[in-house]
Order: sequence, then C-alpha cells, then structure tokens
Amino acid sequence: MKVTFPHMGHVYILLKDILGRLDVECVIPPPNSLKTIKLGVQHAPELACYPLKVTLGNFIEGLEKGADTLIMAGGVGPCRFGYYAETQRRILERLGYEFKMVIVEPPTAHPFLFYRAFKRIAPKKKLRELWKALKVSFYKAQTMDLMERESLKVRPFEKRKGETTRVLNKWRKRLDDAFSYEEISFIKEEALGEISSLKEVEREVLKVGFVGEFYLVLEPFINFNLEEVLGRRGIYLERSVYLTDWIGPTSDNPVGGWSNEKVATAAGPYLSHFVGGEGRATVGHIVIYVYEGFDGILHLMPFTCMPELVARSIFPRLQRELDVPILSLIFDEQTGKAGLLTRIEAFIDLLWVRRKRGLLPRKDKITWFPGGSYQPQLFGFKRR
Amino acid sequence: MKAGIPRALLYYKYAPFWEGFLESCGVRVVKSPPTNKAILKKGVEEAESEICLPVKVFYGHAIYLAKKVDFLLIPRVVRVEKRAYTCPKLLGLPDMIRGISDVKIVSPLINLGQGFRSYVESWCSVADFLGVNRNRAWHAFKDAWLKQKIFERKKRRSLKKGGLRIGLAGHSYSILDRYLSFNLVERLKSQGAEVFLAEEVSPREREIALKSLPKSIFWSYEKEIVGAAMHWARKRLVHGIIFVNSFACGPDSLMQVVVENEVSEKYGLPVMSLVLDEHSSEVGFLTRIEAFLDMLSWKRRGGE
Repeated sequence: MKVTFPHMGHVYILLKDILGRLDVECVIPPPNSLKTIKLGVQHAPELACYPLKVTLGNFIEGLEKGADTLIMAGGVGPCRFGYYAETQRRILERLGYEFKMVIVEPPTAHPFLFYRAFKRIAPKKKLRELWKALKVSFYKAQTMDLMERESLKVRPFEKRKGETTRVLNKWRKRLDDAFSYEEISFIKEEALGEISSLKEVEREVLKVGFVGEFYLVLEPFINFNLEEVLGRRGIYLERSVYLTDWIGPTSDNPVGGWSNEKVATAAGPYLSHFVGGEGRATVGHIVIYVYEGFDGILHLMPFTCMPELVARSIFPRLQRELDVPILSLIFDEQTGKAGLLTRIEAFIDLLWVRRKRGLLPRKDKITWFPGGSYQPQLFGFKRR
Repeated sequence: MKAGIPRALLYYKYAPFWEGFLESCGVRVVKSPPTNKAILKKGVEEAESEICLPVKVFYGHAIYLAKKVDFLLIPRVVRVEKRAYTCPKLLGLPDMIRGISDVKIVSPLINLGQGFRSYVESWCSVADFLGVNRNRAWHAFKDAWLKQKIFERKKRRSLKKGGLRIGLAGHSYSILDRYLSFNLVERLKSQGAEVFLAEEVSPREREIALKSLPKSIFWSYEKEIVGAAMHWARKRLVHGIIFVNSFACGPDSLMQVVVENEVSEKYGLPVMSLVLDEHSSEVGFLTRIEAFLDMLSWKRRGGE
C-alpha cells in the first residue's frame, strides 16, 4: 500500500511524519506546479473552488507516481471542504484510476469513522500507537508554524535580502529529517534563536494583517509566495491562520495567539454567527488587527469560496465604520502574478500615504470585549 | 408596524409560516413584488460580484423593501434538521444585508439542531420585540406552523404515468422565481412535458434514496435536490432530469458531480445541467431546453 495526500504549505512534513511512524509507505506528490493546476482544472467541475482543483491535480500526480491509497480530510460542513474527498473520488474513478480513498473525518464529530479510517491506513496499529505518533508529529508541525511566524516578524528587518528564507528553508529541511521529541525541541530552540537573530536593521515598516481562506494563506505556490514578496518590501505581516491551530484539539490557538472565542467576540458586531470555514475568523481578525494598530489588511480567497464571500460582503461595512483599508484578492487558475503584484504595490503606496498623513484605522470605533458573547437578535434597534 | 419579507431565497420555502406568524402578531406584512429587471439590477449592483445569483436577487428585494417598511424579517436559518446545515451564505445573510445600509432587521435564529424548543424560543423572542405576550405568541406560532405544514403537504404529489416526464432538480428559489428561470416550469409544460420538482418528493422517499451515498451530504437543500434526483432515477419515474444550477452556487457545483455520477452513469438517465446567471439570454436557454426535450422524445420512441 502506497499512500499519497495533497499539498498545503508544510502539511506534507506532518503527514509524512505520522505515516512514517505508523510504518506506512507514502508517496509525496511533486510540489505544486503549473502542471498540477492544469490537471486539476481540466477534470474538476468548473464552479468548484480553487483548492479542490489544485488538490485534485495533486492526487492525479500522486497516482501517476505509483500511489494506490489517497488520504483526504473530511468535514461536517457547511464549508464545501467537507465534501471534497467524495467529489474527488468520483472524478478520479470516472477517469479510470484504481485506488482507495480514505476520508479522515474529524475525531470529535465522527469518532467511529475516524477510527475506521485509521484502521484502513494502518490495520496492524493500535490507537495508542497513533496517539504517540500524533503527539510527536503535531509538535513537529507546531515547531514549523512557530518558525514561520518568527520569520514573518524578522523578514522586513533582515540585512541581506533573502537571508530569512534561506535560514527558514535550512531549518525546515532539518526538521523534516528529525525524529525524536528531543531532537525536535533542540531544533526548535536553535531555529527560533537563529531566525530572531536576523533582525538587524532598524527601519520604519508597514504593519499589514494577512487574513483569508486557509489553503490560500498557507500554500506559497498558489498565493505567489506573497509572504516573502511582501516581507522583502518591508512589510511586517501577521498571519491569522496556522496549520496546527486549525487541526489542533484546543480552541486557544497557541501559534496565532487569539483563541476562537476571542476572535468570535471580535467579529460579533459584524458577523454574529459562524458561517463555516474561516468566514468569521477573517472578520474577527480584521477587527483584532485594527485594534492592534495595523495599517491595512490583505485578504486572500479562492474564487466562489462561500464563507469568505460572506466575510467579503461585510468588508464595505468594516471599511466604512473602522476606516480600514482592505485589499481583497480572489485567486483562481487565471490569476497572473504581474497583475497581482501591481495591485499590491498600489495598495502599499496607499498605506504609506495614509501613514504619512496620520490616517490610521479607527480603533476607537471598536465596541467589543464588553464581556460575554455578543448575540444580536435585532439589528439596528437599541438592545433592551 | 409594517414588516417586509423579501420575495427571494427561503421565502419560497417558508413563506406561509413567516407571513402567518407576523400577521397573527398583528403586524402588516409587505412583500416585495416578484423579481423584475429593476430589482435584479439593483441587487447585482449592491451585492458582492462573485456571490451566487439568488443572493444577488435577495439584495435587490431587500433594498426595494428597506425604505418602505419598519423592519425586514430575515431569519438566520442555520439547521432545518439534525446533522445538516443550510448554506454558509444563508448563515451569514442578515449580516450581509446589514452591511449594505442602515436597514433594520429582525433575525430569529433557526437552529433545529438545538432542538425544537430553541426554535419556538427564537420566534417567541420576535414576538417579545413586537410587544406581543407569550400566550398570543404561542398561538401565533401554532397557527403559522400548521399553515406551513399544510403548504408543504400540498406540494407533495405522486407521479402520474404517461406523457413525457421531466424532473427539475434545483433550488425552489431559482426554479419558482419566474424571472430568474425564464418561466422554466410553464415553458416545459407548454411543450407537453409533465414537470416534477424536487420538493414534491416526500422526505421519506428522499432519505431512502440518499442512503446509498457513501458520504452523507451536509446541506439540507442539496439533500433535497440530490435525493429527489436519485429517487426519480431509482424508481424510473422520469425520462430525464434538468439540473438547474445558479452561477457560483457553492454546494451545487459539487452536487453536479454526484448527480451526474449517481443518476446519469448508474441508471443511464439523461441529465442536462443549466446554469442560470444574470447574463443568460432567454433564446439560448430555450434552444437548449427544446433540444433536450427533442432528445428525450426521440429516446422514448426507441432511438438509441
């Protein structure tokens, strides 16, 4: 049995590690490329969202490399992501591939289905062994997340351009090869130390919040490596989503720093109910970044993404009330790098002008954290 | 007091309840007119450009009503059954409408996943806001509930044999909106076809048909559509299915694959998918329907 899985940022480090610990042979599909996108777009339904198309391309490339089992995360809605696996299975079967699709459902919602998926991947292993493997692998992924967070902080202040990325890649490689818990924690100490020591130059930087749909924020090939491009131009970025925060068992988001409850409270006056995916988190993080005195927000979403469209529909109100500049970029297979960079450059220029004139987002307009969760029923009326 | 109910989206499903409840509470209900060019244009202007067509239409209706009434009733319909949501856009609908202008919105939370009691409670809170006491509110709720049940029961009908039978698998808000669907139902009827809608299949038959799916669908209204299509195909009740999809409808884009797979490939039933959007022209639309009907009658006469 050879297992393959789709790419999403450094998720391959995590999955490779877990599968290795469970003695399952895995085939890592080739990194995302134009060919992947082309393959996915060719076979996926036209109006499906972009991540479905790219991950379908990953699966096709993985199957062509000799895999016979596909792993995909499941879900219980309302975001379309929960039904990706099923749709992709049908498309791939129609194309004539022979494979087994294992859908890993979230253990909190479907404990039995999760167990069955685990047994299909590693029939001889016990749950305790999975738990042991998960603990170390999760720690590894979290270390990777912490390194990325640190690199976002220092990149605008690096002395030689590209130094941060080089160091980050070096440690990512070493982390990928690390096995034991001790080894990983040693790498964590060393890597975080080395990355933070790169902060050498003092300069004035713009602070921009990086929010949006999960896949697009995490996958550098698909978002044209925006983190690095912006960092090199002297933009201090803060990211709203991290891999381990999303898949982690707790809701306090140790890497991102804002717990789900706090984000929900912040989003409350604007979007008072969760809408699946990252919809509410996007709105909540924008409010948080305004509160923290950021200059602007960069928002990424795939074409036709439902939760992000709900969030995007609320942006006009956020911009009106909080006076925060938001650049919302929609990605699909037609998106070109040059046009995108032009828009981002214009946005950066606008932010500089705003800063020179002393125009900052109106954080005094935020009416949140009054304690308790905000549950509006009657909008526009005075609450009794 | 005047309440406004936009004639779009879930209006086509729950209108008797919403109207009945508000009227029993002593509120005058104003409904927007059926979708017309001006409403659609307004909606397309105001709404997010990438959002699906029915939501754009909803924006148009809401803007039309906003100035004419004291408040808009836009319930936040989260779950209408256990283990299934409606759609992210319906979950965020009141917040989205609130984003456009300073409309006043009354938005009860409909979450049947939390049990029937919370459902009654959320309608009672609307009654509280209207200044109606709990006793009267409960009676209003009961009457409205009854009206809704009768409305739903009336829709169910079994299929008659004979004639060319076509199943329309699509959201009621896009099919029953005559402007959006170019009067699809009547057009098919005038061409001599018998038309069946997805909501006419009873929930029980639908659930039985859906049992064969390896992963259950978690959108209620998509379950309705796919379940109906699978039921028709399994029992060979129709000669062909038209899958009506609106542009940028999220769940339907995936359901298209499921329907094609489960209905077309498994049972060999012809399926045509029509995508509605604000730019579609009536003529092209008609040509496709006619071609599909011709193909079906040719197949019925024994052509292969």
